[in-house]
Amino acid sequence: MTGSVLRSSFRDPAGYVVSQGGHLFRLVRPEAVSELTEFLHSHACRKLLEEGQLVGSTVLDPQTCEPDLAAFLHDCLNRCGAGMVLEHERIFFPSFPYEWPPEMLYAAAELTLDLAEISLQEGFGLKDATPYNVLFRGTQPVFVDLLSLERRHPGDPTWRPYAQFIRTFLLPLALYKYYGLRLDQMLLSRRDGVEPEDAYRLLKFRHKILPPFLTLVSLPKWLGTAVRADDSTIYKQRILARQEKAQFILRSTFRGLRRSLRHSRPKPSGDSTWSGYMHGGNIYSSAQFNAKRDFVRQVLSDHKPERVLDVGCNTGYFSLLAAEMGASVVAIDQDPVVVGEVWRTAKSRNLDVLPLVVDLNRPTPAIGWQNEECPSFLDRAKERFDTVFMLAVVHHMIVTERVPLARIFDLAAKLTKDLLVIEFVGPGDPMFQRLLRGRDELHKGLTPEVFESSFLQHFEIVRCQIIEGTHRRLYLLRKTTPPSSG
Amino acid sequence: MLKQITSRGKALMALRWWVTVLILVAACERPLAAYTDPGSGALLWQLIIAAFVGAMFYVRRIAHWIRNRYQHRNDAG
Repeated sequence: MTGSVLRSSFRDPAGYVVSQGGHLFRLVRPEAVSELTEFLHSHACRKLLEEGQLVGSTVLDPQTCEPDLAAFLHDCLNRCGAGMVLEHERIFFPSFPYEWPPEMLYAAAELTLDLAEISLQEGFGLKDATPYNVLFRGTQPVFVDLLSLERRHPGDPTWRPYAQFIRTFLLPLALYKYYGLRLDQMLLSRRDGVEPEDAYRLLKFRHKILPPFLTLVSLPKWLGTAVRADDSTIYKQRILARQEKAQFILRSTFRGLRRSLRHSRPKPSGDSTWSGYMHGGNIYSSAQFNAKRDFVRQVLSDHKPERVLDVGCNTGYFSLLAAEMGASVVAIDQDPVVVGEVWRTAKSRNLDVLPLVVDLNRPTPAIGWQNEECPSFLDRAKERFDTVFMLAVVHHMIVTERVPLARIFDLAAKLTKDLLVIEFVGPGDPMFQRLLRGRDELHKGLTPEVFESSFLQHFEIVRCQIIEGTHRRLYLLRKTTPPSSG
Repeated sequence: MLKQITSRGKALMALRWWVTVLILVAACERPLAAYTDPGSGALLWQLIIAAFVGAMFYVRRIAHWIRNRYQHRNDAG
């Protein structure tokens, strides 16, 4: 078989995902085929597919598919022992829960509960409830793990993934809301979320005895001490004679989880260091800001990029502008509050923006088994974008992070396939001065000429515009170095 | 007004009772003597709630049956 197995696809014994020629295929083991086929024919599946909440999936038939694909399919079915092969829609930019603002984790939690409840009507349930089953197509959460769905015993009143849903969705959301813990702090180092025992140690006394932590943390923690480690009786499946009663209990469980989810909903207007940055009014006058906007709009209108990466997007003004002009945008910023705001705005305006909490100075590392389960941000982003925006961000990298200009352009050249829109902010700029904090000597030689000489190795100037009355310049640069073969 | 105060007083009493119970439970909590399955507490909590909701299922059915019967009598009358 010529395809490569996705590094993250090995936990589920029912099948795995293979990438081949830019396409994604799911190989399903023979023993899992009948359950999956039943689900694919269910009303729930059709409804979820129509609404785009389930990843696009097509069952491949070697008799009817194209000759190239038929050979691959034949290989999967005969040599790899697959019972069925599905082709999946490829989501443009895979992202992981530790890169989402809490608003996106909340949306993924809602989708997981919706899916569990809708599929329950036809006797299906979820094997697991983890945010790793969800990707985002722009602002929309999409459930991607079809093999997570299984036939349930109608008399079973318990939801097995209950504890996992709490660990991976509810506790990270509640701890962010009540204690300001960022999702990356909780989820980067823990594959399966926050254990109630760990959360319990952090809680104030009043939180221990009140919802949502009472039922999410304290009671499970107190009850956990009452279970003997060698006692496996509580894990045995309980089947009730009255199926109606089992369904009644299960629906009540889902209602309870939804209630806890609502308690943990991120507040819509959080404040952070950067949340008022664009509205501060002390960086540009309106004429200066309009000049900057017109420059970016002109780039978008002349070059019509399909994929844009907006680095340091703040409240997403330019990400939204690019999306309005037809681009698919990945917008990154280190501040979860502003990234959450971008998600809410893009969602309300139905724009194709994927906002992620990523600091380009310390981009998301590769994590998981052998550091291969979840690739790093740079691995995913490398040369995936026609255009990269680095607006009002380079001075933060130079001053605060102490990254040399040449290295910033090395990285920009890895990210963009073609264009870079970058803003030069000179040392005389008030924002630059605010960051300096007495380190003036280090940066006094930073002139537009020095800036321009730093990118000549990778880029040429297409257009440059001075923003009148400021120490700032806008550049449209075109990459001159050939794309890397890797 | 008096009714309002009485119901508020009852709610406060109930709240006080719950808080006392929870403080007692917290105070009586035992340290982890051995390795504890992290998911066991949540599963046990789900089972306790399931038992309670399961009882509610019958209460609702009985209430429904009484209501139907009463309505049926009224309709007949």
